[in-house]
Amino acid sequence: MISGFPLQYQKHSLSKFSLSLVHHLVGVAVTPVVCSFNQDLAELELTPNPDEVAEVFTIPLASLMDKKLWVYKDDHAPIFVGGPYAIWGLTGYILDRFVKDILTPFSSRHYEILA
Amino acid sequence: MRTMPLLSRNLLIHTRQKLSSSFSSTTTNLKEVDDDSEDDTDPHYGKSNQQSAAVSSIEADLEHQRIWRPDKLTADPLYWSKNIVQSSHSDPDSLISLLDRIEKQELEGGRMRSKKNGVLHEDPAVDMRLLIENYTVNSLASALRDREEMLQMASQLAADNDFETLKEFLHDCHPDVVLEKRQRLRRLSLQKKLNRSSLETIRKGLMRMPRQVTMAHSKRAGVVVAIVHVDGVPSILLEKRARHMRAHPDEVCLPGGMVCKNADRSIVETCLREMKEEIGGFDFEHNGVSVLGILRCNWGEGKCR
Repeated sequence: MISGFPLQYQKHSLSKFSLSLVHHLVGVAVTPVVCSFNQDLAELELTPNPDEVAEVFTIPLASLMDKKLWVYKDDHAPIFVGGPYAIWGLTGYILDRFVKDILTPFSSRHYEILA
Repeated sequence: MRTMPLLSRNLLIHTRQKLSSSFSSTTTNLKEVDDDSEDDTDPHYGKSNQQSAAVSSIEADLEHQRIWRPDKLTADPLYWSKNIVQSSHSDPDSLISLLDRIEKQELEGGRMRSKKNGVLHEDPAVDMRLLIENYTVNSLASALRDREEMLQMASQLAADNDFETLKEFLHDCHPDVVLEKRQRLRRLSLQKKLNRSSLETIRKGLMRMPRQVTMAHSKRAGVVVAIVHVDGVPSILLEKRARHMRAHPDEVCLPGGMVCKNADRSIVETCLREMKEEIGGFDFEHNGVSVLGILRCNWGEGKCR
């Protein structure tokens, strides 16, 4: 499990948040693999391993596209506030890239805003 | 002159194809464009430096934050001290409703938005950047020649009062047609269940990202951006880490973990192995999971200065 590495270090040396810094900070190169799962989770009993995971939850892709649910600050990875918990750090960065590089360029422009 | 409309139609289609094919092959550059546009905000660095330098003398600075009002009822000069974000602390809704209003106005075509399609993108600045960064001078020059010839032919048709042909001739240039064509490229709808073709769109998008991986790093990890459906709503799967974890307790993360050199033949194996360890109940066999691709995040290609 790799998660929110604190990214607020080295403020003075950063013109903006840069992921190469994550590598230098934590010494790990993280590769996000995009997978799709066939089963609908509504009918599925997931069993998180209590040794590592407290909870498993989902967030609709459409809400990731809602700019109002993102918080951008200098020298921080993007923070998503549209879920049950704040998503920040490396996870926030990866999801933000996924939205910007994949979902946004290929999504229908005039999607209905979620009610 | 007789063959003119046909010829120009060919030119037109030719140009379109050229544009759209180079557009798709360089879609990943959109990301770079994106990065660059973030770059434009880089002056933040300098600014924040100045700001921190200024913090010490903030009171001195405040003396200059004056406000002048037409009614001269008070002789004392007026000052402002809080910006809108600071003053919204007492009334957070005010800022939110302001942002809502701005967004609404922008969407409805406020002053800033002229209803033009551009060549590749509606936003004039983005359009220029896409054109400059993704096309050679040769292809731009040839597109310009096509347009010039088209204009001359259109002018000739108008002079001949042949408006029927002219209309037909310019049909593909109509803003609505251009928009419709462009939207056909963006067919991923996140409102309804993702079908095979929308997953294929995501897979192709991932394929187009620049490849520059990270084999050089001694320690590697993989995480899964898991696209799932919940009651038919396309969603992403996340974990909240256990409270007793040594690193990052209680934080939200993606499934995944460190590459195990002995057990994993690929990063995909790492991801799925770790995910299986962390979450039970998924069918990882029988085509229960399909790998769409790697999200390439430009690690190691930092822009630190």
